[in-house]
Amino acid sequence: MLFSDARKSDVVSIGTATKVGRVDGFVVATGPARVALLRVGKAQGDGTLVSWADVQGFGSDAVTVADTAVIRVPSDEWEQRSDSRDLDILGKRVLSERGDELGEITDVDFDPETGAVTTFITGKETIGGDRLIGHGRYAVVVTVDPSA
Amino acid sequence: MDWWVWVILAVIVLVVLLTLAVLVQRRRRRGRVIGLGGGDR
Amino acid sequence: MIPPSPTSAILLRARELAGRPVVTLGGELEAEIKDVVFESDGGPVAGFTLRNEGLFSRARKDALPWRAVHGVGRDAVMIRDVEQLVPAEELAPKKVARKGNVLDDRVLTDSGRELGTVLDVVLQGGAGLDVVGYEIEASEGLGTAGRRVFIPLPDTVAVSGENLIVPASAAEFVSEDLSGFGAAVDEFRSRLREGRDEGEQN
Repeated sequence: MLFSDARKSDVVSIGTATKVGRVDGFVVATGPARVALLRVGKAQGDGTLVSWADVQGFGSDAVTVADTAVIRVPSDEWEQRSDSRDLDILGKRVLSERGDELGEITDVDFDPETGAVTTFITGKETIGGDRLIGHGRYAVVVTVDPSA
Repeated sequence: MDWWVWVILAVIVLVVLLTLAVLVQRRRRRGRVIGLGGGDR
Repeated sequence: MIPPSPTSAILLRARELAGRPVVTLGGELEAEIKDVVFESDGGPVAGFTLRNEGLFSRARKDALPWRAVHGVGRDAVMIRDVEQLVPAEELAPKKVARKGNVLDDRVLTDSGRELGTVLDVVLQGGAGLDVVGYEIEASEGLGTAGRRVFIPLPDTVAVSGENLIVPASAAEFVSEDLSGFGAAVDEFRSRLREGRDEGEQN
């Protein structure tokens, strides 16, 4: 599933069968590359983040969670940065570990069952999720192309 | 002189000063290439 | 995983590195390259001084030693982490740095012929980054006055005040462009080695 498809999906509570928010963005973690958090908007309370572990199902139209309580506030510095969109991956430049720019991320393909990131897509090329070394405010850093 | 002449003059002065500041900064920012351990001849 | 060698085997101009972003493997922008610092003896790049990004930023008190460099690429210089930075004084003491800038220095052969003034320094990548030549604005003595040409350097670069001394034979290996320059450097250095070997045999 692509981030571009999954963005703006409804977040639905299984407990109440109502919409409790909307997917605004995704936060990717390294080691291995995976979706760690969803950024959620239009929630009732103060919460803005949902851990991947709290996602029950990720369908093409909606994301299900147990109840609205899983939508929470940041619990540490890294989560605060994630919440601030510093770590938003769409549009971020990709640098190889050698220091060459490989384009900007236009989309990300991930497994909706496990949250694992399979591919980063830039204007110039596709990059396997296993090549991710790190990502921060300035860039996503990946290994050099192993097939080159 | 009319007031608008002063305004134009002020704008020109500002533009000149800004350009100078940017140019000076650009020259200061040019890196050096430094050789260590040069002997005295 | 074996880390890649920091640079690929290409030639680049040292001045192109000024202003290049210094980025950690974690994807954070740490600084920008300010000066390139090299060892005269052997010519390897010892490291880089740094400044912060932004138009009105000052030089930083820390510097990037070559051993902390993970990669030098077209768009960034990659470092593993910021703990490996060292005080700038350790890499290039202020007194040495002030006099050691080779840009605009005059290039003379050891027989006293003036070749030109330094516009840039040519670096060759490989396991490390090595000074292999100068890009100079040629003086009349070189027969191509006013033109930008490349002259190769031996392993040891003699730096002294405003003058740089090169072997007289360097003038025979002048290149007009960077693409052919790598070969000129190799030929020039072979020639020097032959001369040394012959001298030892005699």
